[in-house]
Amino acid sequence: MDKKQEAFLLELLNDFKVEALEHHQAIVNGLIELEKNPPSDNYKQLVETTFREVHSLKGAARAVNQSEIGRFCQSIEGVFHSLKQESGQLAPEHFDALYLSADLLGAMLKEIDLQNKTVSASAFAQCMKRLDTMMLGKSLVPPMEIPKPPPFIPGQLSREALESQQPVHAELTELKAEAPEPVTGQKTGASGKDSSKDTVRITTAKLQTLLREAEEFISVKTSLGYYIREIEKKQNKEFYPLIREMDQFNHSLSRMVDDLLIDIKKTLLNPFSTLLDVVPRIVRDLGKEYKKEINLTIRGGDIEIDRRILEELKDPLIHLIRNCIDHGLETPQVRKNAGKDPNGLLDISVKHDSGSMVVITVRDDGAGIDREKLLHASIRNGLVTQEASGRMSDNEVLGLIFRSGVSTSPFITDISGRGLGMAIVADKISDLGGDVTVSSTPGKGTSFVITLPVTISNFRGILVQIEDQSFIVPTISVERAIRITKKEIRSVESRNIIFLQGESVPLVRLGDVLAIPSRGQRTKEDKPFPVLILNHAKKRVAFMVDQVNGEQEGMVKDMGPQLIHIRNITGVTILGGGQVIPILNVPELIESSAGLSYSEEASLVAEEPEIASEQQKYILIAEDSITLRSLLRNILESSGYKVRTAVDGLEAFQFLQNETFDLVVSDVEMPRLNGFDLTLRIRGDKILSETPVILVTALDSPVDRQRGMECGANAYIVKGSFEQSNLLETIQRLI
Amino acid sequence: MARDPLELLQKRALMISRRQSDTEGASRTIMVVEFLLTPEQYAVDTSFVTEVLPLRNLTLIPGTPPYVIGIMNVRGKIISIVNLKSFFNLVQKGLSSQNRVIVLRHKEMEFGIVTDGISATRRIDTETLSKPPASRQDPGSDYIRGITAEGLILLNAEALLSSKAIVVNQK
Repeated sequence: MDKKQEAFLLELLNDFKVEALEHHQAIVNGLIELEKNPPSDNYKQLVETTFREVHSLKGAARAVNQSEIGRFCQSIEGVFHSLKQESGQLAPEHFDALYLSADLLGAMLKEIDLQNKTVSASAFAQCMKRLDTMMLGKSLVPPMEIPKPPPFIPGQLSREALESQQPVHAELTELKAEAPEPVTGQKTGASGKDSSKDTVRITTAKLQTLLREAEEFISVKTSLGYYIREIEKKQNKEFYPLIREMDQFNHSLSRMVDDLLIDIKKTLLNPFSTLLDVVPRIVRDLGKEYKKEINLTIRGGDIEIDRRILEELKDPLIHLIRNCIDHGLETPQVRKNAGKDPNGLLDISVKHDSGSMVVITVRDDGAGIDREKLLHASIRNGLVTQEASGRMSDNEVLGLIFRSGVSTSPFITDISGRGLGMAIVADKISDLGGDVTVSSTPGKGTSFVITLPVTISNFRGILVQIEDQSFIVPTISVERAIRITKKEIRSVESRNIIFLQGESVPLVRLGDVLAIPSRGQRTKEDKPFPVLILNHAKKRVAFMVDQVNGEQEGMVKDMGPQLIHIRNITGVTILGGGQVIPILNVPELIESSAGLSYSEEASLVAEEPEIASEQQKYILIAEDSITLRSLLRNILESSGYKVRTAVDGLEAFQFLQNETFDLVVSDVEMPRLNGFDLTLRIRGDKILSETPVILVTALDSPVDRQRGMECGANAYIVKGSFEQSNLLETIQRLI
Repeated sequence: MARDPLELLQKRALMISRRQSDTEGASRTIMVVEFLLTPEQYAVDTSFVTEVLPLRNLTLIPGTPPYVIGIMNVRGKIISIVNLKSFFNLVQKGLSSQNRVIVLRHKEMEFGIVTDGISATRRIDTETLSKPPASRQDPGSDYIRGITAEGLILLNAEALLSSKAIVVNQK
């Protein structure tokens, strides 16, 4: 198969995956609604819409050669078909079979791309067989007229009763007398379709590309502003009218760019229902598993939030729900004994906070969190001391639930009780720029309140410099920036420390942690140098940097698909001018700093070894290629020369004006001022004219060699045929 | 409701695939970009090349393996840049200018390779490729499709872009 066709089929398959997941969700929702056993008109309608979802999925699967999925859908379709034909109803055992099928179907959809399938052929065949026998219509419950439900009758028949020997139809009648739900924002498979007419399906990746492209305009905008100011600085009156026009133009450009960005960010919003749609199914399964009866209410599904946040929110939200069902809600018997409604309440609501935040509340009316048990578990795990525990407020105690290692559950189940989950929930939510709090009343229930930004917020960080490299440290981890002198450094047990408000804080050089070689140009005198105090999980470390360049704002970006995780670096941000700055990963930095050995740090206290600078020759390298520049620098520095680098001829000439160099090594082809012209300028300058110049070039033509000599270069070395020793020999000959 | 559009899609898919295979014909040549990795001349299938850029404003990332020379901002997108000579463990013979980047892409993977210059794009006949000489036992040989009569080394871009060895994950 040629590549274009392959790509086309791949794209088709990708579209299918998106579409199939929607059909799958609609099928599951249809099942959940059907299980609630609505009045017969609704029932028929639901059977019809669910049937159509299965049918569409079948057709789509066949179109992309997913024949197994197609066959499977056909069996499910068969059940609904006979249900339609014979107007029968589904019994609980049918629901089990159908949920199992839906699970298998979901698993198959997830595994389309994978080589190793977890859905075994036998499970598949068995499930198909179960469905096919149902299809014969023999086991379908005969239809029966169900009277309209009397309003507001609370109480749902318990699962135990359901599974007892009573005739099936009697149960179904009772089951329906369920407490009416409040207005739910979630859409069922039936009603969800209505909105599809005026919407288009688009992948998050495509929207992110658009957002990225729109964000690029920000730098265009800021650059334009910068250039206008530069022209203004020339103080040329002739330009003033033009500058005014450009200012106006820049002003409207700014507004357009800002509007564009806001609107594109809006397209990234998705309703919460896309996430909450999976909740009824999960609650149903967990309720069954833990023998708990649950009335689930969901509100605010229509509220919109950045879909990237929604995607990340799924796991923490499900964990909270599981926590409520496993730990919060009691079994029906316990509830009855406590004089409560045997059906537990699980309420999930989404609301707009003032401003750009969204508040999600997950609330249960269960037993609440046992303060003493939680404190006890925390003391046992060493999170708080016995002594400190006496002084803690109720809120502080409840907050302990988010610390890892704390679980009040005596049993470790597969979903909760390990004491890790809540810590992960809190971490994830803080990663998304939000926070989570908990409140609880013994015997009355627990509620978790998550506050999240509507869109992914821009990142703020402190720009620092080490040697000639810049990094950015997330502002949130920076306790403060201070300046200290060498006198303030103490050495304790082979570690350097400084004292901060009476507390000792380890001190390391950020460059050492990142393994950036020091160029050793520090001055001898006791000049204060900048230090950032970074803080993570109550650990403080002081990091020495060369410069602190203020706070910056930007978006966090990853480093591309090849660089998945680099130690000490979380990602990058792009500054106004397009410059890419690595963002430091503070937790990892603090961890890495602990591993630094004494010898590496010793130099902080010890005086810098005195270098006889009179004897050390100082060489200027002019080279536009960064790799070649670093290579040359390494060669020359390892041979004992002091080196300064310039990115082109013009910069080199500027450096030559301010400092005295013993020799210049220059590339020939460079922007702004090339090597020939740089040589000519050096030779034309009274002071510089005697400085030896070596041209290093890819141009190996006699004409160029001649040109180099005519300009006054002392040596001409061709790249490629070039050996390291050759350059060093040449330098030694000249200085 | 979904039936008709789906059938239509199916038909279209078939039509497109036929048209493709018709034009393909018996041609065994592929279009390549020829580039220099001093002192050798390499080539890469253009269908994996998304663009060619000058190497500039490189940001170094401390802690990366030596073959990752840094990252670049390509219109707001971050592209990591690989030095193949270092990845292939080739001896760094002589100085090279390393001034041009070829951005390669396959499926989700994308990165740039730094070259000493781009010479040309042209067609080469994949049938006449010879195996890399036995003397070339470096790790790079896994990523080479073959060598043309003129000594042009054709990279196996797909293998390179699917390689797990080139991905950096220090988690």
